[in-house]
Amino acid sequence: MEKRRKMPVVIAIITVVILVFMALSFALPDSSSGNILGTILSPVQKFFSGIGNGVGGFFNFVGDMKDFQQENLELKDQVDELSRQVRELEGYKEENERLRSLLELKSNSQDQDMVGASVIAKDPGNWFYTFTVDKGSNDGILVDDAVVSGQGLVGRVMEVGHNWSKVITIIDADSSVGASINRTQSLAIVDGDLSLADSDQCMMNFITNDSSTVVVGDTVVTSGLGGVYPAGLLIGTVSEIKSDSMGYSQHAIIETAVDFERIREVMILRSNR
Amino acid sequence: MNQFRQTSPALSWALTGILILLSATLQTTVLRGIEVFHVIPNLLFIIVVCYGLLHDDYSSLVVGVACGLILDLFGGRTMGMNTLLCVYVAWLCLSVSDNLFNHNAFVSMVFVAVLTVPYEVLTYLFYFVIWGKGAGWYAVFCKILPMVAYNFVFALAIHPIVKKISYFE
Repeated sequence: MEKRRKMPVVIAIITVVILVFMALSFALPDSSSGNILGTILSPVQKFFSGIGNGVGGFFNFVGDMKDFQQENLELKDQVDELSRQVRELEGYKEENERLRSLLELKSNSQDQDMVGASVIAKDPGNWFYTFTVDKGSNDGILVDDAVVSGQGLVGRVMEVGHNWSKVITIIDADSSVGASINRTQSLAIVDGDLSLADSDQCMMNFITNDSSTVVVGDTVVTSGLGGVYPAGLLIGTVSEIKSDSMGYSQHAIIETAVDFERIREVMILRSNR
Repeated sequence: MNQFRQTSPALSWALTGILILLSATLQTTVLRGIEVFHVIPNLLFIIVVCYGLLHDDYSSLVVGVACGLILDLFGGRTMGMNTLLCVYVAWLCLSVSDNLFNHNAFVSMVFVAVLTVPYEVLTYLFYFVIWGKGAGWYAVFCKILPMVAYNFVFALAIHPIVKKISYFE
């Protein structure tokens, strides 16, 4: 009973301590406590992540069975079409290589210092779209390094530990990426949106209200403005365009190039700052 | 029968620690593979509620702090937000636990479901609404309600484990 009488005092003390802690975490974002726990749990998460991928893969396989037959027919058609395109592109590639060597240019990807990383854990909640990878400051990773996959832009590093890093994806509501529309070179901002994130979509804002600026199917890439993401990384394609109520600007919904639900491996572009 | 049982608070704490770390690991890895409607259950939150209902001392608050801290470290944006919420949830459960006639699994499930609502609503308000990023109906119907249902079901599995651990105290 004595304990119960003191309970409000204990709660008040805990509340004050946590509020001070919250204030400190704003002032000192690099928390060593997080680093220690992350370092300890990182190998365990890596182990369980492998199991999780297997379990998830099985359920996805069972769920997708019905679509496989139809998909197979479509894919056969696509293979024929793509084979024709590959032959055509090989010609362009040879020509491109000749011209490149003439101009002594190096491709951006060759200049970029990359490190491969595996996804070992995802956000424990349902509001944010972040994940943890198995590379950290020991591998030269820094906060704000861009993260990509074979499909396109994934996000950026938001927190770094010794052997782990936390990555915020471009579909997270706190994410904002300077973008440009590939066809018209118009600049815009691609923001994460809570209601679109589950379907791997983002919102592209600040597009001028000119019908020719953006059309459905346009490819959107990073603009390089803002200094976090290098220019030219594929974000996705425009799937829908909407005008604001005043008619001054329009926004578009972007279907991201990356399948965030099934992401397993990423490349981190080391910025060498 | 209970009067002959072996008590060991140290063992109880060790098992609680293992349960928390295992739940944290599962929540960030395996459970993502079986998410329903893009939602996973919050095992750590369920542990806080079950522990609060089955214990009547400060240990519930310690478990609340531990689980909240882990949620903050692995997912939260503001360090301490989940910790604070988990402590209050533990306190609330602790306060009502004496008045319950029966500490069975269904009571835990109901408490988990009911407390998930204010917990997630406050999280949503703090991280989205006050920053002007609200998506009200979507948040309620596609996030909070599925979480309530999922946590309700998983409480059935967590409750007996926490009860078993309490047996060693």
